[in-house]
Amino acid sequence: MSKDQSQSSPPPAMDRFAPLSDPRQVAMLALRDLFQVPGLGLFFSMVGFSAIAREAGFGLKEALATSALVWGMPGQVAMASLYLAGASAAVIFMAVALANMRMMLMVVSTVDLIGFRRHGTALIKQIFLMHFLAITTWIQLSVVRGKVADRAMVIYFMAFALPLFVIGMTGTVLGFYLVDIVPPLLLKSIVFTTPLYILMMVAKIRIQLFRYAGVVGGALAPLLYPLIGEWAILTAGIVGGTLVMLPRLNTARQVRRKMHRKKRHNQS
Amino acid sequence: MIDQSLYLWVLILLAFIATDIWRVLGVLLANRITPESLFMKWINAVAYAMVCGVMMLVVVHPAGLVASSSMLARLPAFAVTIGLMLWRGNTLLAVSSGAFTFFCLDYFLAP
Repeated sequence: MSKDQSQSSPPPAMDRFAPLSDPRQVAMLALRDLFQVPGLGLFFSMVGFSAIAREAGFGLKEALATSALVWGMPGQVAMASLYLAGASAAVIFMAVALANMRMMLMVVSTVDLIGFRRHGTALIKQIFLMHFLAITTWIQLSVVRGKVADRAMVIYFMAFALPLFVIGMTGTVLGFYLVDIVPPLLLKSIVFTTPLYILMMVAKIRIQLFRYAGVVGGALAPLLYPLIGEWAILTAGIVGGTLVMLPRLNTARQVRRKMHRKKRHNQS
Repeated sequence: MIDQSLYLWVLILLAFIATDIWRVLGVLLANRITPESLFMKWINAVAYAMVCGVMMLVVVHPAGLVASSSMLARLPAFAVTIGLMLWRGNTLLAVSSGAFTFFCLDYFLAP
């Protein structure tokens, strides 16, 4: 576990590349990162959503409102497809809540990554900004952690997440009409890049513990899905996250016991 | 059809609440957890496990547009992506090759 120890602390600052802190440079970096796979992937995910929404009987206004207000793909897809299936409002509410529950954990992680608490950001501002959090943004923040100075992380977040939101809205509007022009096979392939991309980003995360958690969660969810449906995500997450933490908890307990013994030894 | 359209707007509002309630809870929770604590690490680990779970569901049990594709297109595409990632470590190459594999297989497997 000695390897883990070094990974638990913030990534070592690279000597040759000091973390960026100039607001303009940070914003430019965020935009450069955005207009690659992340932006393109999200754009077409929203195009894909718009296609389903239209099929389900949504108008353009309704599709756009769903994208803007929910801003979380699994929940959006669950809502549109359940509406098409004629599910009750209660069922739709539960399904969306379940599909987007991971938001809570992603928000906790992001608030920590950006350091809102260290910088004393007002709660209401934190809540407002977190509405714009998407999986893509969260993964991106984990990737740039260490490359961008701690106090500039919020600038990176805003320069990445807000334009991404605009890209998403554009994708929703265009998607409403694009489905008539773009062959479904091509659209499907582009939509399929998002899960591949996100999974590869997790594979690249520097913290080994989180990579392992991803592997366990990723393996469990498809196995559990036929048995427990949407609950598979929550279960796979808790089981995966807890499983990789077990060695850690054990180490912590041993350290505590050792310290306790030392204290007693000193007292006597 | 006014009722139907009003009902849809109520559903959109419900979906908004069902999602942002988690975001608000997340902010409130984050401001109470000690940053470098084991609990914070656990939350992060669960978040990574859940996100990978969501993404693997798209590969194995997809909903939406991808649902109309064959598992015989999705799994090899995923394998190509992982393989290239391990071999070359280039995300762009791995993901685009995976998507291309999906495109070709789905094209040939389509009824």
